[in-house]
Amino acid sequence: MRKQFILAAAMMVAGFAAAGATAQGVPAKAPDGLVFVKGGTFKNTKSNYYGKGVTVSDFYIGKYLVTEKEWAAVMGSNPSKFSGDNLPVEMVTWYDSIEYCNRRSIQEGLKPYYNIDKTTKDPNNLPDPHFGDLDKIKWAVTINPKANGYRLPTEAEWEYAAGGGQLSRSYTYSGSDDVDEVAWYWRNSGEMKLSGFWSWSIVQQNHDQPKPVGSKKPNELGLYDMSGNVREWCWDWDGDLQTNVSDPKGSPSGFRRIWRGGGWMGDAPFTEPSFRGSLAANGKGPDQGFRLCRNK
Amino acid sequence: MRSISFVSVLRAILVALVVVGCVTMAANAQTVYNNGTGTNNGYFYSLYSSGGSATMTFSSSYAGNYAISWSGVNDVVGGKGWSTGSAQTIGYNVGSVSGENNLSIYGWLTNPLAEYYICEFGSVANGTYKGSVSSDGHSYSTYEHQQVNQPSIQGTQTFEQYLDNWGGSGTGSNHTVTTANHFNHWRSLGMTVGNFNYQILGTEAWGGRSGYVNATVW
Repeated sequence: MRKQFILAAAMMVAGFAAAGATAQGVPAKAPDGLVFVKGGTFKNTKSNYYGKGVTVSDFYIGKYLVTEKEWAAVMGSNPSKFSGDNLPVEMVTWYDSIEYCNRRSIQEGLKPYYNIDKTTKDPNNLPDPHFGDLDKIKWAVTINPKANGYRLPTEAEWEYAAGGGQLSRSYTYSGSDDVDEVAWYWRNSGEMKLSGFWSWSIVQQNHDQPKPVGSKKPNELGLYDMSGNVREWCWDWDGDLQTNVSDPKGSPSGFRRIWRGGGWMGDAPFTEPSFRGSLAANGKGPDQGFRLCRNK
Repeated sequence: MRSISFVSVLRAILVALVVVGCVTMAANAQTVYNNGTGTNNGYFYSLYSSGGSATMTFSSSYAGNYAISWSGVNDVVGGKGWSTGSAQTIGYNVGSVSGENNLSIYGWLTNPLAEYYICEFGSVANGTYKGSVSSDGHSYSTYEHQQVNQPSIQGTQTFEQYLDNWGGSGTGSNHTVTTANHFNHWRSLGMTVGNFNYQILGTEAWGGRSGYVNATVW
């Protein structure tokens, strides 16, 4: 009897150890469609945050990009240029993405993460010094930091997860040093494999387009399409990266919101997890989508 | 288990030989029909056309040479150059050119993102006139043109086009483009010159035209 108890106890310990190994040391049950990300400092040596005293807390992030089917189920319409249930939703502004997060939270009985004031122009949304007031929407959006609802990742969370978190192998792209293994980008997203220099005319002629989510290899955390397919909105304003801080949320003001990960339309270097792109919050294109997050 | 017939094996071998043959032909191809990108003699090249027809060939005598002929195209874009540009002095010789809209040093910059033309034949004038710059014995008119939510090497972006327009070059003789003069001029106008992406001597034509260009870049 005693031996059986010891054996059972040993099996339980082994079981937790195995579960821990797949969930980066913590046997946390992630909500459907999300992956638990164990927080900490940046292990990825190619990260902008590596060695900069930045830590992120535990959080959940979408295993896949938000699909057109998921979008339509919440919003009742599909803005995408390219049609397919399992394609990532695109042609969405930063505001659209924020609104989706809240509506889906309400639909699932979660507390919305964002307070969206559509009647007040956000004073922190500044004119672009070069292009002027491109953003005519300028909703004032604030956060409920403790809410359990869906939200966009911060730029730091996104880069941490794309870089493999605590399991990072410091790949050039998210999950590999070979871009074609993990990313859809302009050379491999059409009828033929393209070489030479980027040309929009050639990209169009080759019928490049977004691809079904999860159709390339995942990264160290089991996340798909963190490099390529469609670019992903983050919460932050574009600005200087913060150092020596926990859970940075970016500049208090700005004129462009950060996107990360690159997409099917652009070139490979812009799919690297360390590349920082940005666009006015009302900007959109057939290569602009997003991925969900939630607090732990 | 299904048995494999002799005919099946023979068919598979023939298919494999045809595939290998096609790949070999493609690798050695010195003629591009309508659309193609790649490297030739150490230079990047690219040809795109829609409607009509276009053919690009390369001379074995000059590494930077290319010739494109087109007929009845809605649009044709082709050229040869470098994967990473620089503020280099670019030499070129255009043997002949006809039916083009422009022949330019063309490239991209990042941080901030910008697309640029230094136009030697034809015209790229568009957007806001910013002034003029003298370089290599002639004067270029500088324009800046905003592109909002448009395709780019980074995907959909909002960026500037920097356009230095001359168009008075001639055929059959060597010319230089001291690109540093253009980049410095743009800087003086507040048009930031960031990091270099690719840089080519490119030819564009559109609107149902037919034409030909034979050019060498170095």
